[in-house]
Formats: sequence, C-alpha cells, structure tokens
Amino acid sequence: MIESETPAAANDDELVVECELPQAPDKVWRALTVPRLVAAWLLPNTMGEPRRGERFELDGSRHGLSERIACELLDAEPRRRLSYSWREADDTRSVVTFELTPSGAGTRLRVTHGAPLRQTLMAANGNAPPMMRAA
Amino acid sequence: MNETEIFKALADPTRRAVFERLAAGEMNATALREGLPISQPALSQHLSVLREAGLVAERREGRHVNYRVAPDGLKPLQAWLGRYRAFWPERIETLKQLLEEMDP
Repeated sequence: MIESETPAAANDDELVVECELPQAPDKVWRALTVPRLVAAWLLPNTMGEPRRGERFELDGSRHGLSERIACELLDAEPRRRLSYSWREADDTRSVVTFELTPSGAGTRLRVTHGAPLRQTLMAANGNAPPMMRAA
Repeated sequence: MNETEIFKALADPTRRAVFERLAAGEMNATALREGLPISQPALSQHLSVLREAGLVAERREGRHVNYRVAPDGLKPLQAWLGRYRAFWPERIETLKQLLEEMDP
C-alpha cells in the first residue's frame, strides 16, 4: 500500500496473487478462457475466442465493481500467458495478466493487476516495471 | 479529484518529476525548479495542475509559498488497490474450486 507520507508512487501499485494449482496448464488455460468457466469463477462476461485484439465485457456489479468493465485481449499465448486491458465505467484503465508455468504435474499461476497509475506512468516514461509488490 | 485526474496529472514526465521531488519533503518554487529545465511560469502551471488533481498542497509563509504532497493526494489510488486487494484472492479461491469440479 502506498503511504501518503512516502509516495513512491510508481513502485508499490500492482496487485499480485500467486498460487500452485494441482491441475495441468491445459486445464487452467481452459478455466481462464472458456466464457462459461470464466463466468463461474471470475465474472459474467461476453468473451469470445482468446485471440489478441478480441474485445469483451465483464460484469463486475456482483462484486462492487463496474457493471461494464471493457476489456481487450492484449496477449493470448495458449497455456502460458493471457493479458487483457480492464477499463471501468469511470475510465480507469488497468491491465490484468495471467501467467502459467508448469510445476510438476500442476501449474504455477501468477495473476498481476497493475494499478492504473502504474500503466500511465510506464507509458509516459517507458520505464521497466518496478519490482515492489503490493500483495 | 478522481483517479482519472490523478493519472492525467502524473502522465506528464515533468509533472511527475515535480511530484517526486515534493515526495522528499516540502519546498518552495525556487528549490523545486533547481535542475529542472523549465521556466518559472511553466513550473507554476504544472503545480497548478497537480494542485487541481489534489496531489499537491501549498502553504504560505510570508512572501514564500511552500509546496508539499497533499496528505490525501493518493487516496483514490489507494481506494483502487483496496477494491482489488480483496477481489483477486477471493476469485482465485473460487477458481481453485472450479478446477476441482471441471471435467479432465
């Protein structure tokens, strides 16, 4: 969390969740990309094919988020990496990235949600991503 | 002040540099401008944008004005983080359950 006394603004502003899953990357990939499955664990959605440039919406209302979260697939590398932009009703723009790594018979999953400020600052400065983590 | 204004204010590299200097502590415009390749009017303009976004506060001391990072300046960003800090771990727990139930 960013403390207002020491606003290292660009350093501490992304959320990362990592976990080990017993299922293989192929199965995890399906859970991340098949619309019906995504609706079951993430949010109701209008997802189509997991293709770069594909646009869809998520309905975040059930979890206190925007009813319409506009997304565009930025990267879709089957069983490895999925990344999409995430724009809320107030025009707050961020990016969510899922990274899958084989781990034994299972999968190591890393979810990164970069806070909007970070995206803006990186775009403005072309900086490498900061390494501090918020979670 | 909202998130979008904050992002716009900090999207400019010079304003971001000014903001980061102020993060080190309160200072006046002369100290703030030292080493920055901008004119006094340009700095004033940048400070005005930062102030309107709620990121910077000013304090008058006689003839001088001191600038500092506004205590609540990054609150919207903190609110954003707060929103998603609980969201993702909960969603991932649900994902784990779903994976258990999915066909092979």
